Amino acid sequence: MTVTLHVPKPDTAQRRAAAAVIRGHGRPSGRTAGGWIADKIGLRQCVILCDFCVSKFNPRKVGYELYRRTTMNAFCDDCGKHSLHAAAFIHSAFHDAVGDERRIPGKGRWARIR
Amino acid sequence: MNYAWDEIGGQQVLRKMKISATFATPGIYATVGASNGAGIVVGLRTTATEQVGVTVDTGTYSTTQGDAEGVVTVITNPYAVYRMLMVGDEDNAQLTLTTNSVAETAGTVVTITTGDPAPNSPTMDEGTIVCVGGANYGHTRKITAVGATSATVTVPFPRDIAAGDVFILVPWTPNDTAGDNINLSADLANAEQDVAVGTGADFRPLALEFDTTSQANARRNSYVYAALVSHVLTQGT
Repeated sequence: MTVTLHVPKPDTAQRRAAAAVIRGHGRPSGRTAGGWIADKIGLRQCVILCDFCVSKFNPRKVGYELYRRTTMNAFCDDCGKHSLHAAAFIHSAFHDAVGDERRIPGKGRWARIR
Repeated sequence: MNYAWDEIGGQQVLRKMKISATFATPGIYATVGASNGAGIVVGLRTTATEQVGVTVDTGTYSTTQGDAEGVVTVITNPYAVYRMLMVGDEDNAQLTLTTNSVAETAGTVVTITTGDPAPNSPTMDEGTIVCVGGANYGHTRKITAVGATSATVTVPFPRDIAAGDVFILVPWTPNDTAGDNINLSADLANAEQDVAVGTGADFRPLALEFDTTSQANARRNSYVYAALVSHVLTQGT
């Protein structure tokens, strides 16, 4: 007869932090990605999209802006895949608190390519 | 506070995390919640253990059925450096000035004018002093001794200190064992000047940036760059 010993893992801060992380988009089954993203926008949450999904999103249309001009290591809110080339968007109201210090020009030679 | 750079040059890591307290403003740091909590919690102004990172959005915690789950996006890089505005008090007043009242030819002692904050209460010993008015304009030095009416530096300012020269004393020195920790303002966004050296949450100042384009700008547009010291990913457990 096989005896299984259950040794509980110690409750550490690192494990509690890891438990709080939401892997993937966290989108419930039955929800479409568009509606899920729209809900996040309604709550002014940060929207993270991988390089495949980012082309579907128009941040200016919903009052969002690019968080940083560099790519992020994050999970895509749309497809849920982990990406090293993700783009993050924040609500424009958060620009002064956490936005990029370098303003992205809207027009002229160095304007963002759309 | 705002993400500035990663000290080991890594890519910025963003993670969505469950919360067990409402994060009302973006740009504040989070700590690990209690054992049976629903997620991470807002960090404290004056102490910090088990830091997780800094938020880039807001989240509302609710235990009501039907409400959206509280989630915030957190920068989890353990070696990230954050930029905090220096403010004079917990309500984000501009930095307090100190005006030298006694001429000094060695360039090492600044004597306050009556009404200025006493350099030893709260103590600025091991903090930093910057000249924002006078012949030493723009120069910074580490404070190595303080009294009720004077602050002394070991490395002299390059020119004599005249009566009427203006200085700003701050309780931080980059990479210093004593001049570390940052007491945050009431909104948890900025670094508070009017506290004793070593007081505050576990941050390690890595750089000070004084805007010396004018005295007014130095008071309201100077920054301290600091890293989280008690980050869970650097604690080993």
